[in-house]
Amino acid sequence: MEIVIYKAKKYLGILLLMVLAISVIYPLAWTVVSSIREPTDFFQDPWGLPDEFDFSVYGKVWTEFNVKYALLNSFKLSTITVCVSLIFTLTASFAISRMRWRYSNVVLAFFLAGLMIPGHSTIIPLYLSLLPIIEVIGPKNTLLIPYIAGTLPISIFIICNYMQSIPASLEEAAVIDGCNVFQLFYKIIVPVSLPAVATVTIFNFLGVWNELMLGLVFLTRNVDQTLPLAMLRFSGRFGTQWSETLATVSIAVIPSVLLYLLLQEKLIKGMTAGSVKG
Amino acid sequence: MDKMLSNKLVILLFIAPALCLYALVVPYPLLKSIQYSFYQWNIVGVPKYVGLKNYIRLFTSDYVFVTALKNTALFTIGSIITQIPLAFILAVSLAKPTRLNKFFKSVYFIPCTISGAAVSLLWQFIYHPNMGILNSALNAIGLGSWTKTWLAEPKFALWAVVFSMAWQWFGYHMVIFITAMTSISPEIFEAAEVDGATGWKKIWYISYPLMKPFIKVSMILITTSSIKAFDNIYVLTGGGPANSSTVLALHMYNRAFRQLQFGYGAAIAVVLLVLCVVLTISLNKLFGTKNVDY
Repeated sequence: MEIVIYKAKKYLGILLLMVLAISVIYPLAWTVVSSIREPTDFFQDPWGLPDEFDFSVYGKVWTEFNVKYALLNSFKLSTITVCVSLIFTLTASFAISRMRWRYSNVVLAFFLAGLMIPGHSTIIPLYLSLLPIIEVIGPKNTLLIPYIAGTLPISIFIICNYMQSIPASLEEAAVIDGCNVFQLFYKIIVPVSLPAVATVTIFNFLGVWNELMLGLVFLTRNVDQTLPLAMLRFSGRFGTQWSETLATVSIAVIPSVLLYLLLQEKLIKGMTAGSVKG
Repeated sequence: MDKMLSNKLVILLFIAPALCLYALVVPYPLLKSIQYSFYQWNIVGVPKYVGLKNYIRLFTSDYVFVTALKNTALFTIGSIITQIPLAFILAVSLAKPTRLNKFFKSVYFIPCTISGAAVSLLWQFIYHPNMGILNSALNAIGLGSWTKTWLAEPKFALWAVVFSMAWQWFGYHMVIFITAMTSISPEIFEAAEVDGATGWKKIWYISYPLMKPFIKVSMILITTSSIKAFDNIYVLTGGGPANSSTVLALHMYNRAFRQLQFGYGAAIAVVLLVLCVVLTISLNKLFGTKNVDY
């Protein structure tokens, strides 16, 4: 009898977990499927299964509504942010965690304080002081400045942690073999830190890919905008054009979910790094 | 080697780019925000020093701000109630790293990787009065009288956002708790079993106290992210209807970037920062820093 109750409990548990899993996956799968349904068919029974597929709405948002620029802009901003941020983070983390100077801990604490500062409390002066720069290098390039700076505290936190765990013997061996400090940096320490670099890269990429508020403030022209802004183009005072919205949402969501499925452990590590270790 | 690693010039070369960029883009504007909050400044004209007037106006005559403050509090409490218990129960159930459990864990984390804008648009459709699945489901199970225009009713709009945020983030806190669970040595549980502890007792007397530091972290994260909440509310309700779901970040955005009242907006930004810092410290105090050790 006890075994029966135990088994029943177990299966009930799995059933509940399954229901929750479906409630997570179903709306996402629905978004993608609905975006390739024929619009009239979709509006007759939005939550039903499609009869046939129709990709025409993608062509429409791609060319007429400039979503191609949004995808390109999102990709460019995310990639450049990740690359530049990595250079800054790696050099700074090397100086903080491997080199010997008096104020290294103070500087680290200064960077980590940034984890506590909400971006909201800096956005107004930031925008005002960057206005003249926007006129020179354009809003997209200007936006890179807060994007890159914003990634530094968490990236330096993760990379410094990792670099500190590299044994000194590795360093000594390299120096005996004739490495100077720059070679030590890019031939030894950076390659050894690659697992942490991967974590930071994917985390920052998605961070910029999904960012909304700074984009809203800086990117006012349609052709400059990123995907999270482009998604909102189809909602207005007179309702929402759902097929177009869902297509654009799919264009934005599919890459992030794929990236997650490919590099799950890394991304989870990056996203929870500040909380679990901090 | 010591000499090589303490070369001041190299250190400067390595640290300066990151340090300068960070200092100019994060701490410096923060101080500027504080300064601006004492000025009346619209984009045309010269900033005028007004002392504490912005703050006085916020708390005495700006009913939207007071609503936003109240909503932010409700938002925080709502998010804690909807996310932490669920995340805790899931973590307890999924702590053993079996294949099935790993599958559930991966699935539950998916929404965390998606932008708040996308999640909110999706939920806008779920809440759609005619076509949304929520009302359809209510109709289907015979609760047609419960159907609502969810996002258009002042009583429900805020909670609709809270619910969509819970859908997006419960998996995140679950992962934090699972990490915590796996750090508890199985010997402790074995010892407890020998002493006769069963399912719930094990959870209450062993898992919960040992996971308290992580629950604290989750509470702090939910609190600060609720104070900063912007994307989901901006997209889902825009703060409406009639400001019933507005929050601090949205109010700041509207004042500064829609109405171009930069000084006033900066005052809201400062309140936001103070709330984040004060609540983080108080939650830390409330939970105590003493960790349980068995």
